[in-house]
Amino acid sequence: MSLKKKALAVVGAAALASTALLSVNAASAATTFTTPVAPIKGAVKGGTVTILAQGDFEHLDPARNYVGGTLDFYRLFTRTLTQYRTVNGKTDLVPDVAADLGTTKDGGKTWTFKLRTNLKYEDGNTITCADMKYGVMRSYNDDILDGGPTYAKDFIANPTNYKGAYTEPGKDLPSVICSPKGDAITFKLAIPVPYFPYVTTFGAFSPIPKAKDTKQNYELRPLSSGPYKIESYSRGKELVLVRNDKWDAKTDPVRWNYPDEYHVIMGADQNVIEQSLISDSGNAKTSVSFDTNIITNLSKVLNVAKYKDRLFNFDSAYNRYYAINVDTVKDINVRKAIQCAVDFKSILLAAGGTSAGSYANSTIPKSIKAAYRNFNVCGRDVSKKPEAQLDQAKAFLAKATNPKTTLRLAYRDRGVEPLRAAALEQSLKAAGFTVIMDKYPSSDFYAPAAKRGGANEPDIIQTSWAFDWAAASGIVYALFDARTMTPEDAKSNQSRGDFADLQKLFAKADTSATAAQEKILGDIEQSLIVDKAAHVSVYFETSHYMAGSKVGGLQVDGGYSTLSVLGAYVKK
Amino acid sequence: MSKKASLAVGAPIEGRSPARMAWERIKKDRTAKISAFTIGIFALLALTAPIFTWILHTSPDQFHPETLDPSFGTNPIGKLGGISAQHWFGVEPRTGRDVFLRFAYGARTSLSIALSATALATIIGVLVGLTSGFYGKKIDLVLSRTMEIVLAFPSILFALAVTPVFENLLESWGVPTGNATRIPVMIIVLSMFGWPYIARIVRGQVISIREKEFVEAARSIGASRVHLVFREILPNLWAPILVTVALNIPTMITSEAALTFLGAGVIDPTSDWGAMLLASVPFYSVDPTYTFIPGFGLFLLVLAFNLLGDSVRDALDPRSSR
Repeated sequence: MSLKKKALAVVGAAALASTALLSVNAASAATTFTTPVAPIKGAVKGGTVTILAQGDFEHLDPARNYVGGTLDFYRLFTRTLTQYRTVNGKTDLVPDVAADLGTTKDGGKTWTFKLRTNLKYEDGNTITCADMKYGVMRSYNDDILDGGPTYAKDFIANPTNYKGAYTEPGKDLPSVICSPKGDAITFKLAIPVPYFPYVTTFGAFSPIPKAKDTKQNYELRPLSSGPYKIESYSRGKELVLVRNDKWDAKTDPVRWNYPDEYHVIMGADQNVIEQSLISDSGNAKTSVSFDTNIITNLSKVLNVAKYKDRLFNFDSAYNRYYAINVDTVKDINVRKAIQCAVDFKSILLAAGGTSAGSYANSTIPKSIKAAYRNFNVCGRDVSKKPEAQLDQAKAFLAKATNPKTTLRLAYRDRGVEPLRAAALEQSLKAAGFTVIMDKYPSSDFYAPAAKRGGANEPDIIQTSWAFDWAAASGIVYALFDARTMTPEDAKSNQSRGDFADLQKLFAKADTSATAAQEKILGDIEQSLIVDKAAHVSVYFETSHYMAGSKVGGLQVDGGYSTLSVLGAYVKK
Repeated sequence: MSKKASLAVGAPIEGRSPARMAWERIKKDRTAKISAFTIGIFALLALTAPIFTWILHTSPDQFHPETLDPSFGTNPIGKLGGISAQHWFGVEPRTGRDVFLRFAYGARTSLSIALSATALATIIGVLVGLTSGFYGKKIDLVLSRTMEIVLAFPSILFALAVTPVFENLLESWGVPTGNATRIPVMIIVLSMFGWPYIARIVRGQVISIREKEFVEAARSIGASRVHLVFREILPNLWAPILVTVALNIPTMITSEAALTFLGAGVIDPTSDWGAMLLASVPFYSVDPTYTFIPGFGLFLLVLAFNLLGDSVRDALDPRSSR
C-alpha cells in the first residue's frame, strides 16, 4: 500500500527545529559524512532485485515525488542536496550533492550549502550549481509539475513573485544564489526555517539540466545522477534500472550499488503479491515490495519463525483520523456525540486489527515527546476502551440545541478505506445518526473533500496524515491552522477549524523557541480534540513488509518510514 | 386381478393432454424431484430471510467486532470461519457480518435479479421470435441478423463496458446513485444478451407452425394477424419456451454473479453471492469457509436449475434424449 503524503502549506512557522530528527550536528556532519557509505556486511555484487508493485509510481519526476516508497526508490537515480542515510538501523541526515549540511548565520533565514565538485550525470556531464538552481525554479511550476511537496515555493523568499521556469522562462529567481565559482548555493528564505536541511531532502532540490528538461514528460525518463539509470520504463508495466557507470561511489554518502539491475514489475494486486512473497518460489525469492503491506495473510506470517528474517515490522508515520467539519456540524454537542460514536475497535479490525495498527488518541505520535498529550477522548483512554461510547453519544445528541442527525461521510475508494467507513457508519447509526456514504475515487479525494460550501460538503472526512519531519510543527500547522484555509478551500485543515483562542495560540507559537513551540502545538491539538471535538484520531498504522529469502541488505528507512531498497543485494 | 390385466380388458381410456403427460413423466423423474426440492429450499431461504434476522437478532449489515481476533481483523474467532450457534455459517473477516444472513439475503438479490432478467429476456425473445418467424422476408432478415450479432458479442465483457453508460443515463434522469440504478441496469444488461436464445427457438418453431393446416384454416376464415400470432401460434410454443427459460435461469444466475464479481454488480453493503465471492478472494488462505459458502451455494443452485431444465425438456419432448 503506497500512501500519498499530502502537500503541506506552512504559514509563518518560526524558530523551530525537529527535536527527534535533528540529532545531527551540522558542523561535525561535514567531516563525518563526506566519506562513501560503509559497505553492508555480507553483501555481494550482481544479480537482479525485483520489486513487485501494485501500480505504477505516481511520479518519478523529482519535483513531483511525494510518496514514501517512491521517495526511497528514486534515490537510486536521483541525488538531492541533502538526503537521509540509514546504516544499521540508524538514520542520519547527510549532505548528498551538497558537501555540508548547510550553514546559517541569521537563525535559519539564509542557508548556504557547499557543493561537491565533479559529480556526473549518466551522460557524463558535470552536475553544476546552475542545475541545482534550475531544479528549484522549475518546481515553482506546480501547475504542470503537480503532486509534489511545495516546501521550496513556500519557504524561499519570492520578492519578484516568480512563477516558475516554464511560465517565465527568461526570468530569474533572485533568492537562490550560486557562488561565482559554482561551489556553493545559497537560499534566502521568507521566514526562518531552522530545519531547512531536512526540507532539502525533497526532489525539488535535485539537479536537472535545463537542456534535458522535458516538463511533464521528464518523469518518464529522469536523467540519472545516482548509481543506476533507467533502461526502460513502460508505464503501468515495468521499469528496468541498470548500472550508471558515470556515478562514482567515492562521492556518495547514501547509496550502495550491489545488484546489476533493479526490475519493477507493476500491476499485480495486493493478494497476488502477498501470496507470491510468502510462497517464496522462483522469482519471488529475489523480490521485495514497498507498496504492499502484508494485510490479509498477516496472521499466517507474523511471529512465525520461518518468516522472521523476511518480514519487516515497523511503525509507520501514518495516522488515520476523522475530521469533523465545524462549518457544517456547528453544534459542539453533535460533534461530541460523533466523537463518542466512533468505534475505534471495529475501525481498526476492518484495517486488520491491533497487529495492523495501534489506537491513538492524538495525531501527534507518542514519539514526539515535547508535544504529545495523553488525554482522554470521550472520557476514556481509547487504547484501553476502544469500543464506541453509545450512551454518551446519545446523551450528547439529546443535549444539542442545533441538532443535526444526518451526516455525510466522505471517504476514498481505496484498499480497506470503504470498510473502515462502513464500520464508522454502523456505530454512528447505532448512536442515532443517519449517514450518507459519500465515496470518492482514489485519485481525486483530498481536493474535493476540502472544498468549502456546496450542498454535498462532507460533515465527516475519513483521512490520514504522515508527518514530513518528526515534530508537531509538521502536523499541527498543516491540520489545524485556520490561516492555511481560503473561503473556498480548507486545504489540509479538513475540519475547517477557525477558533479565536486557538489562533491566538498559533500566533504565540510562531514566535516561540522550538521546545516552547512544540508544547503550544500540543496544547492546540488537545484543545481541538477535547474541547472543540473537531477531530478524532483513530490509529497509527503498523507496516509489515515482506521480502524474498534471497534478498539481503534491506532496512527500515527512518527518513521515509519505509522499507528501503538502497542497500538490497542478491544473496549467493 | 392385476392392474395390467384390467387395462388389457379395456377399462375406459383417459384422454391425456400433452401437459398432463409431461407432468406425469416429471413426477417419475427422481433428478427432477431432487432439483426442484433444492431450488425450493433456496427460494424459501430467500423468501424467509427477514425471519432469520429476527431469530438471530442481527442484520446482514451489522458488524460484530467481538467475533474477530482482536489482533488480526482478518481472522474470525473459532473454527471454520467462526461458525457458532449464533453465526451458522460463520462471520465475514474484517467486519464480523453474519455470513448466513448475507447468504440468505444474497440469495434474494441473486435470484430476483436473475429471474427478472430471465422474464424480461423471455418477453423480448418471444415477441421478436414471433415477429421474425411470422412475417418472414425483410423483417426476418433484419431481426435474425440482429440476433446473430448479439449472440456473437462477448457478453460479459460488453456488459462490463455498457454498465457505466446505462448507469450515467439513469442517473441523468434523476435515479439516485447506488443500487437503485445498478440493479435495474444489471437486469437490462443481462436480458439484453439473453433474449436472442429464446427468439431463435421461437422463430424456428413459428416458421414450422405457421404453414400448418389449422393456421391456414384460421387465416382463410379471415382471422387477424394478432389473432393468428397470439391465439393460434403462441399456444403451441409453450413447451420450447419453458425449456429455454428453465435453462436460461442458471445462465443468468452465473452471469449475475460474474458481473458482480468483476465489479459491475451489486454494491456493498447489499448482499449478493457474486459480491460475497469477490470479497472472500483475499481470504481464501486464511478463511476458506468464507469462500466456500457462496461458491457452493452458487454451484448447487445452478446445478439444480440445469438438471431441472433438462428434466423439463425430456418430459416435454421424450424423443430428444432418452
